[in-house]
Amino acid sequence: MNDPRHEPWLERSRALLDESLHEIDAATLSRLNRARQAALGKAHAQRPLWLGLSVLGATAVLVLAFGLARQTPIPATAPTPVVAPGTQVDADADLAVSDADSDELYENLDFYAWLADAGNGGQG
Amino acid sequence: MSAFGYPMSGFDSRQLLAPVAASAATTLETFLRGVERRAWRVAELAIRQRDDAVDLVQEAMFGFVRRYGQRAPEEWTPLFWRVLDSRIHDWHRRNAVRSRWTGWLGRLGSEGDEESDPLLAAADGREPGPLARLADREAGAALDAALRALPLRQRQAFLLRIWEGLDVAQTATAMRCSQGSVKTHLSRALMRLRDQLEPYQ
Repeated sequence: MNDPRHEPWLERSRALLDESLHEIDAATLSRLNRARQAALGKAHAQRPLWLGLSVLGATAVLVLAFGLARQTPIPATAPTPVVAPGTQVDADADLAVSDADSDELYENLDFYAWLADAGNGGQG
Repeated sequence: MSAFGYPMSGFDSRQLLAPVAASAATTLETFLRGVERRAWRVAELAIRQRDDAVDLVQEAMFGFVRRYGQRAPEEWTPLFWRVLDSRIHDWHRRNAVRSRWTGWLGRLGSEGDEESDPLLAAADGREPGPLARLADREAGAALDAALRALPLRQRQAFLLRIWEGLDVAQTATAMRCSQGSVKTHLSRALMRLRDQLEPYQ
């Protein structure tokens, strides 16, 4: 059976209906344009609410995470020195003195110098 | 030139004459721009009120954007017509209630007058005048008159299937009825229109 939409009188009807669209008066076209813009404006206006809620949620999560991080106790021990992989560790590194020891060393520097001289003299 | 291949600043008659080809790239604005004139014509044929027809199209646009704007563009066409169809039905319901009241009040004020159909009495803005003797005008007026004389469901089936180019399933979605009902409405519409319009082909 042939598609009834291709009957000549229907083709003619479609053409007439299409033609009638060109005869719509300017006032009606203007109102249609405003109606479209208003509908689209409303659609765009809905987005900030959706986005706002998302941003609000993300901010709340961040604040919560920050608060929890601050409440977590920080270990009292000094952090372990980090040595980059491949770096050769000096054998004397174990002898590295703390700040307190370093102060004592500098205070008794003359004594250690004399001790070294005395040692060399004793041997020589 | 827009990304869709036609100018956005001016109106392109291809948008006017061809049903909107929904694609992933189709924006909401392009879709509404392409369908608004035909929507107005469908509404105007259904309710015979030019200003009210614009209001109905506006309501349909609002409803469509709010409820279905986030759907895939491929689904937009039948859903838009569904919303407009719903608004047209609402308008007829409201108008029926209003007519009942005005009819009752009118009978009180003019007892003894002949019963008249208010729709027949309403002025037809497209009544052909002297200039409408041209064949196209005459045929257009005959088409409008024949379409307006159809029952609402038959007219909607005809306009959506024949003019808008929706398939049976899409038309059923738009008219909120079964596909069988669409075929029945369309068949009856074609039968009634053929006799009146074949002479104008």
